[in-house]
Amino acid sequence: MRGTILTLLLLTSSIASAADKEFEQIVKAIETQYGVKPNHIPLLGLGNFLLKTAHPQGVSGFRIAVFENLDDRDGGRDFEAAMNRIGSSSLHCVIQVQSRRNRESTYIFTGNPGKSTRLLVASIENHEATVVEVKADVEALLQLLRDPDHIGDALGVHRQDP
Amino acid sequence: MPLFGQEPSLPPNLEALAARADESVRVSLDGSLLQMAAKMIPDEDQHSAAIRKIIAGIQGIYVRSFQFGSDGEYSAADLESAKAQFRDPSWSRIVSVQSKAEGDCDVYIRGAAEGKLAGIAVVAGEPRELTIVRIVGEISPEQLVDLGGEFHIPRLQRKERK
Repeated sequence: MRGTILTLLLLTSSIASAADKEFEQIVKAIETQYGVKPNHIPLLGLGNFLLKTAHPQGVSGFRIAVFENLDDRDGGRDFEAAMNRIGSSSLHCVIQVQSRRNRESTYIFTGNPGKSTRLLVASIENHEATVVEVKADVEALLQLLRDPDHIGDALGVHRQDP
Repeated sequence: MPLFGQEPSLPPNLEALAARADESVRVSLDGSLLQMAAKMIPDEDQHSAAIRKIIAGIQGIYVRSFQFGSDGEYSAADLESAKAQFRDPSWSRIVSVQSKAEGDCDVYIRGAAEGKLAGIAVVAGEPRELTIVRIVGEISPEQLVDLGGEFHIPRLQRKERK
C-alpha cells in the first residue's frame, strides 16, 4: 500500500514537473546562449516555501531568474529562436513584442484559465534578462495585474524605502 | 511559435517582416483568456462597460503589427498578400480607404447564419506600419471602432453623418 502511494506521489510530481518545465527551458536557453548564470537572490527559496504552504493572497508559487552582463552580439536572435521552441499544451504565448529599436523582447505566456493558472514572463533587454513565473488562482492573478504595486506584498516581499 | 487558440498563420513573406521591423507585436487571445481580460477592465465609465460587453461575444482576437523606422520597408506585394487572406468568399470587404498620406485600410466581415457576424478583420497599411487584425465572434463594425486602441487594434474613426 505504501509502495502504491509512493508510486502515485512520484507519478504526480513527475507530471507536475513536466507540465512546469517551460521556466527551466527558458533559463537553460539563456544560460546556454549567453554563457551566464542567473544572479543569486537571497532568501528566494524560503519565500517560495512560504508561498507554497501559506498561499498568501492566492499565490502558490513564484520563480524568478535575473541575468546580467549578457553578450548580446546577435541582437537577441538566438533568444527569439529559443523562445519559438517554448510552448506546450499547458502554456501558451499570448503576447510577443520584439523591439529592435530598444533591443528588447518580451514574451508573455499563460496557462489555461481555470481555478488557478500560471503566468510566465520572459524579457530580454540590452544586456539583461528576466524570467518570472507566478502560479496563482485566477482572482489573485487578476488582482496582481490590476494593482502591480502590491505584487511584493502578495509574494511576502516588502519594499524598503530609502 | 504555437500561440493560443486558432491563430491564423501569416504568409511567409509577412512573417519575414518581423526581421526588418523596428518593432513587431503579436497578440493571440482566445475566448477564455478574453473573458479573464474582461474582468480586468474596471467598471468606471461607459467605454469600459461597452468593451466588456463586446468581449463577451468574442471568441478570439489575433493581431500582428509591424512598425518600421522608415517608409517603404514593406512592399505593395506584402500588403496585397495580407489582404489576399480575406479574399475567400466567406469574407466581404465593407470598407476600403486608400490615402497617399495615411496609407490603406480595408475592413472585412464574415457572415454567419441568421444574419449575424462571425468575425471581422482589418488590414491597415500605413507608410511605416502594417497591422493585421482578425476578430472571431459576434462583433459589429461599430463595436470594432469601440475596440480601437485596445489589444493593439488600430483606432478607427466614425464618419459623422451630415
